[in-house]
Amino acid sequence: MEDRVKSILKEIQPEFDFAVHVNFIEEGMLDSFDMINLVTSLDEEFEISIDGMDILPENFSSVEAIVKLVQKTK
Amino acid sequence: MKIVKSFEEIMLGIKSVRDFKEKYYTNFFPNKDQIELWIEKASLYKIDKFNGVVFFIRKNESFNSLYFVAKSEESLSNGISLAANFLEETCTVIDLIGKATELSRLNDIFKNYKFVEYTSLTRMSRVINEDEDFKNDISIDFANTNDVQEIKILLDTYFDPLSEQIPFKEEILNWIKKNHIVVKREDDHIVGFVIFDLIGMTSYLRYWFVHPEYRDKKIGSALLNKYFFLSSGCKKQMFWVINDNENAIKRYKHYGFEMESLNDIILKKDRN
Repeated sequence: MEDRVKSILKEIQPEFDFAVHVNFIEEGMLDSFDMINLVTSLDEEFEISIDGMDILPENFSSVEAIVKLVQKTK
Repeated sequence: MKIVKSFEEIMLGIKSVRDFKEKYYTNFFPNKDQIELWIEKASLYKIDKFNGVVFFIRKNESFNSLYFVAKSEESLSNGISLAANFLEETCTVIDLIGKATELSRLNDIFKNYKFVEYTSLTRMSRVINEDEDFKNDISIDFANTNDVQEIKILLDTYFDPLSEQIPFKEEILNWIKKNHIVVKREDDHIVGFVIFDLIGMTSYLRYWFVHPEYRDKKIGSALLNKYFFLSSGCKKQMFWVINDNENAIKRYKHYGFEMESLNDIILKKDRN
């Protein structure tokens, strides 16, 4: 699942290395527009529907946080 | 139409649409700090009485900005027809952001309800090479807190509120406190400025301005070079440019910016 998440992130922001362990939001690698795109892509890729209350920066701040969000939603 | 009093109300509105577990059509990308300022200014409203769609309306001085979150194109279309009464009092503007291919159907929905295309923008960006070396032009100053009013007047006078989202004084002050506004002064007046955001590895160029009487004096390039110098630690710089501003696009390309495939179509519906 981690690799699929990284692949989606790379599609959204090809310039950044999402393998690094930093906060993607604080480091400016993802903004609010990217977050919404990410929700749509994760919904499609994992056939889920991320809860509206979970669309918060902290749930998109790292690959681990995104994987956790997908697992929670499944 | 209800006034929004907390960020949580926004989240609950989005949740009510997401709970249908269908698609996610939206032009609303809430940034908490900005939303809280709109709430503080009592300028944000919500219409959540229609099935599968929630509208958020930001009341500006002379027009309303309309945002939506919808589960389907059908619910968006139905919602717009039912919300029409709320949109008749004043001019309404809507930004549709995405790739051109994705936007055409949404564009058609709004055109069915008397929205017309006002203008369109494209995102431009450049990736900074590590070996780029920018000079610190000392003729360009940082703005200070006494400059807020003058910058606000210039923004109100020379920028288009419908397409360029004129900031509040509070936002200008925040940029000044972060040293994110640089200015060129002549005879104690500001004749040009650049306003930018710097978030980690990304920098957003928000406004680049030179007073018409001071153009062709290389002030614009001095301001932009100062911006490049100040944001040289980041990896990517980006901004939105109006598509018919060919001169600006040419200048940006000269500095290495490229057009992305991301568009912002601005639609407008005049008051009835």
